[in-house]
Amino acid sequence: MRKIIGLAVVATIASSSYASDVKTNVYGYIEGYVEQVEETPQRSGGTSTAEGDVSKKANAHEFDTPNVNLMVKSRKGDKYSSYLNLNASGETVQTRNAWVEMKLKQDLLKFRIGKLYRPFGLYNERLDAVPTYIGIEPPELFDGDHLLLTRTTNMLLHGEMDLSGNTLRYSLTTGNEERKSGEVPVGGDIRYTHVGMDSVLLVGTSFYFSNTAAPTKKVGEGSPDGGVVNWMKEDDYKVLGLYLEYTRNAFKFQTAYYEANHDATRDGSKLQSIGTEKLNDEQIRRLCNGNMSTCADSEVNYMVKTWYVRTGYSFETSLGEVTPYIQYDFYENPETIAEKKDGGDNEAGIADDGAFTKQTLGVVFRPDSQLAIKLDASSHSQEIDGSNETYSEVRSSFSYIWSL
Amino acid sequence: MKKLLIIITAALFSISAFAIEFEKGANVKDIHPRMLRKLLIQGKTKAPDGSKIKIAPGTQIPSNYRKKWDEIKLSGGDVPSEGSAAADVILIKGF
Repeated sequence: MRKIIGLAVVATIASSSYASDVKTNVYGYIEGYVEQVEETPQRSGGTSTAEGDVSKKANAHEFDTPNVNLMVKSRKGDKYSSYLNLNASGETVQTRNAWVEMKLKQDLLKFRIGKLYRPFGLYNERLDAVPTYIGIEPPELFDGDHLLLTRTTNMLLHGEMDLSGNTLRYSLTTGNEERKSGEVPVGGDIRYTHVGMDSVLLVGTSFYFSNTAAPTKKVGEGSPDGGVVNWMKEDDYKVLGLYLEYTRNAFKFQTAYYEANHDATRDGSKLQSIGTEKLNDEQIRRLCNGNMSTCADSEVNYMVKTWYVRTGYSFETSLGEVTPYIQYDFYENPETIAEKKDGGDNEAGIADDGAFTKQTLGVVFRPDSQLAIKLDASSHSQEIDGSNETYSEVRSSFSYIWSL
Repeated sequence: MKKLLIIITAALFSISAFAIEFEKGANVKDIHPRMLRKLLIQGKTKAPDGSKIKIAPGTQIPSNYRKKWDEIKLSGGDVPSEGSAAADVILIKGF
């Protein structure tokens, strides 16, 4: 935290001493968070558990400050700009974004390089704008336990075209990502925003080709940074999705569908190191033909699918803006396990088929434009040992936008 | 419940009362207020003719614009900033 305050002071002093055509803004936000997950269903691993015999695991409530962000946006004239986004929520300060941008042909073509969130659907670039959106948790495609692809990349060619006040935005990205050696991963996004008298409609599509990629984490090192799961030797995957956002006065509706097609090679020795006790029967059968101890390298083609619907309505009251919202998320990944530290996730990973749904009901209260207090509750449903199991969680987030 | 549905439906299909008050500089091409509103709701900093969009100090920005602009700012983008009248500036004085 001291580091981030020091950086803010340096940025402020620097901004005042630049030439007059350099304009720098320093701002950010802080988010406090608390979550309580009900006892979650789980089954002891191996092949001995009888059908329907599911135990419950208690979870302690959790306090967190997931976002302590300092953002510095600087512009030199009309042609150059830079952006720095630091997060000091952990022991060390993390650089979430640090990029420089040059306009090649006004707004029609711009070049950005550094570390940047890729334009990809409605949420990837917005996830650090916590105080502004409905909901607390990101859609499942950007849940840190089971990312469909890396959130950041290194180079972006993008631009936008004005169409009578409506906007067509296009972008192409590439970067280091999860590439195995000299491959060139390619991502892209095209979106059209139509502004009506009282409505704004945004429709778009995004795609990604990993080419030959390798895991970013070893088994035992935690969740992968992208779409290649820890026990793979290599993976060549493609992601494709569609999204829509419709806003009419105080009403907002969002939906998106994404799928990732994987053509991968499993590493038998990595799977053997996970052990039988952490997996259920279905997973042992899918990953290792029913026997983890003799697990060998194997080719696998599988598809991860996810979609969501989010909607909310804002009421202006004497105390501030109140926005009740509902969300429905679906996520399915047959190539996962429950153990997070081995690269799995404890939502899809506890289900027989790797699928779960999440229904969320919540409210955002904004007493002021700088403050957002959110409270929501979700119910997870999945099939475990042939029976439908559900569990709930309640979370709250309090975020505050500041600027110098 | 019925009452709530009526309120939501009425709000959904009502026409916004917001009207943009602005002053354009000598070098700025004519711009329709509706076009300006379209640009502002998207947080654009420029009009199609390249003129800058600035906000007069003290102007109250409605919450739906403010929310969108905060979202753009916190995602690394640019939004209209405070400024004063100039030849190449569209100065917003009210929403």
